Amino acid sequence: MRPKRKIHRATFALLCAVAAGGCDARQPLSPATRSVTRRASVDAPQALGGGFVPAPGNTSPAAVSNPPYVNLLTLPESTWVVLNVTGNVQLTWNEAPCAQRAIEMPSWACQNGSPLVNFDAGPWEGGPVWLRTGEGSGGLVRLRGTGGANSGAAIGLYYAAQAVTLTGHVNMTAQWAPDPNFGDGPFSYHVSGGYSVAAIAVPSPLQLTEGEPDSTGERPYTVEALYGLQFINPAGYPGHIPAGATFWRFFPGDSVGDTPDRTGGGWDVRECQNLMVCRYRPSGPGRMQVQAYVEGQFADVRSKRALGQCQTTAGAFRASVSGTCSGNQEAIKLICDKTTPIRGEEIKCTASAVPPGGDLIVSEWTFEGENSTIHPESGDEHSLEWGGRMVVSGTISVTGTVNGKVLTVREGIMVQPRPNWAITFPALPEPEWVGGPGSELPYPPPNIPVGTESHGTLGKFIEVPPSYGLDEGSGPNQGWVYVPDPPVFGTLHLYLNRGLRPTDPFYLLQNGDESGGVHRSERPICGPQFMARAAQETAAHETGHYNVSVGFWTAKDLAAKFEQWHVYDKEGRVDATYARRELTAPLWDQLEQLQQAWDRKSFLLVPCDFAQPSS
Amino acid sequence: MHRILSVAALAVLAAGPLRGQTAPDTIKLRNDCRLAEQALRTGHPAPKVGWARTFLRNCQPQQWASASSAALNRLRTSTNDRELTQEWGAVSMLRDAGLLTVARSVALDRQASTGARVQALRYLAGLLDERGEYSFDLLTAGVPTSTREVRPVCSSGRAAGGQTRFTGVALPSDYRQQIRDAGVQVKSAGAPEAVRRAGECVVYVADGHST
Repeated sequence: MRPKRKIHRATFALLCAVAAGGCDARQPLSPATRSVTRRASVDAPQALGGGFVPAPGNTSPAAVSNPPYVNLLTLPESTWVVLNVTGNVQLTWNEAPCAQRAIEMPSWACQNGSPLVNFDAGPWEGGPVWLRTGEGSGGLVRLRGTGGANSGAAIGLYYAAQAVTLTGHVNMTAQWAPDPNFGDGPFSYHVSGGYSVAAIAVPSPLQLTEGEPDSTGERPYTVEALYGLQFINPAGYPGHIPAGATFWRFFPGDSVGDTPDRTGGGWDVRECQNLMVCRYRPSGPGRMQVQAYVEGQFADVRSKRALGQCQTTAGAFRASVSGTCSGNQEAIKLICDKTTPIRGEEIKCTASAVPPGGDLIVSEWTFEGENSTIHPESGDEHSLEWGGRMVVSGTISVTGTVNGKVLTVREGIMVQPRPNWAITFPALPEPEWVGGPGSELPYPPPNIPVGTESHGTLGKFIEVPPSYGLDEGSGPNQGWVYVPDPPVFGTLHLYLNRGLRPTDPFYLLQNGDESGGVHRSERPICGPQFMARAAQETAAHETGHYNVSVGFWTAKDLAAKFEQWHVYDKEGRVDATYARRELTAPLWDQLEQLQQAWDRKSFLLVPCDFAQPSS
Repeated sequence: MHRILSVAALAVLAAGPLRGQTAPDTIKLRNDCRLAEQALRTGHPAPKVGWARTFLRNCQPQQWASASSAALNRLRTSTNDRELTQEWGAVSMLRDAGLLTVARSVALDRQASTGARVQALRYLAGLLDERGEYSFDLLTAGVPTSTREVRPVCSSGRAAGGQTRFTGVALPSDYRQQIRDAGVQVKSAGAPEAVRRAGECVVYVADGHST
């Protein structure tokens, strides 16, 4: 509920005494909504990483009833965190069992409704993915759908008062063939994919900008929700109050800090309640503060420093201004054409003097983010513009002098992951029948010593590593290397030994009867029955290797690995060999483990010796 | 890769008439192996060589390796790519100290043909790849340096799972270093470009890089 506001006359008197510009005639009000002010632990947006929440493998009641929570990341204490969720869940009808079920028990056939729960248009903890910040049933983060109906994308806002581990699981409804008489039948869908979660720590979900005064000295103060967040009141809030339910206060004084205050003091600017732009004429130096509901959560922020007597034209700053003020009006205005670029997009930031026409001399541009500090190349450091291709989030700052005053302005840049980033894997190749020296399979296939295992003599699936380019950011992100496009794959091959073709002389040579068992440690010669089975199972097995590959490379979280991969290459050492070692090789190794697991699961028992062509 | 499990543990101990056709008896196998070894080692009789090359896989690996070494030495100066591919391809599944010696010798032999040296280096690269996953079809494409294009190097792909390998005489403990040294020598010894590039690949693989 909206906080109650109390009048503290003593506070008012105290403030009047210290305020350089004197006091407003109105009563000072103190909302005192929280005893502890939320403090940002970051000065600029900072990517915290993320994780992947896999969907249950199928839609049976057992699978969807309570899937385990997976650990995603740790949220630092005293920090606002914006959570972006992107879903990609594929459903495949459980064809054969459900078809059989429809014949056998048409009254209790597989249900064909959607097991997927949609996000809501407002913040809601009951959507398709549950993000939890605590034990038990509590601590669920409310998410709001962002991409329209069934888009699978959502955003959430969370304030971590203490460091917490964010966990998640997928919330689905069971779809299966129920049977009240004889127990449950098959599930309706195979499910793959899941939800990617990316977390970004931000200084505040709000921004309050102080505009230039008009001829009467009245200034516009504009509050905005950042990072794609929206002003949304808590559930159950009175419907007649506009979204955000803003509450404005002005804090007079020469040294009003950045941290919003809720312990008393300030002047209630009643005429601005519930507005997004507050027009107010401060009677002296001070800063405006606004409280608002963002995504149903209480947040507050202070305006950029109001310089009072020394600032008469603040301009529509998008950044806070710091520096010294000695009674004049100078400031630097920093405007970036994009503050939330998609990775790989270019931005351009422009510095100008306030008041317009003032003499601005830029002494330094700086980007700081992810432990990198970047300055323009020699010759560009005094330019009024700086920009380039962005790879990582951080803060751009410009330092300069306006009419001799040294000032610094900062702007937070939050790089967004590229939407629709997905890896396309080649289709299952047609089998190629090969064999013989210099080809991929030995022909005639050799006999393998009794008691040993053979790999790759009858069939072979050739998988290929991902190919991709590396690109580098520029300007503020000069030196940050990233993957500009999803990786692609070369030609796959599925080889089968030509000796497995029924018309092949080797195949025809196998006319024994392997059903006779082993006698005197000698195995019988293979026969047509075994050859037919070998041909069938070898093809199926190699197709299984393909399925392992396609499942691995097209997984949503794997695509995100390539999208998010970046490394700061100040020395110019990051090349293909580096990327292969750091990015590709670990994945290549993981895939090999899966392929070996498939080999352990699927193999062909050979109870016979191949008859070899005679000399 | 399809794994085939060869089972003989279920041997029927009771003597009795065999049902169906049985495997070749060991005496016939031994005789065939002797014939195959002789044919491949000497190249005579010529019509038997093709058969011998493939049949030897069913014989003792040392027998197979010994005969193959002789055949490969004969082709040291051959420029017949088909012949070279056939002979070196036939031993790609065989790991043997004698073959290692022959391959190093051919790779470093300036009198040997370019084709033979490249094939020898391919065999050496294969010895570095213990699971036999790579075919090194890009062996002579070279190893790019300081590029930001991540593409397959030395081999365009790999076999999923492992591959069968036969072992003759065990490789010396320092075989990887021996092979790397050979790669270093050929890539900087004024050898033909294809040989030098193949040498680069051998060093690349020996240094533990993946494709």
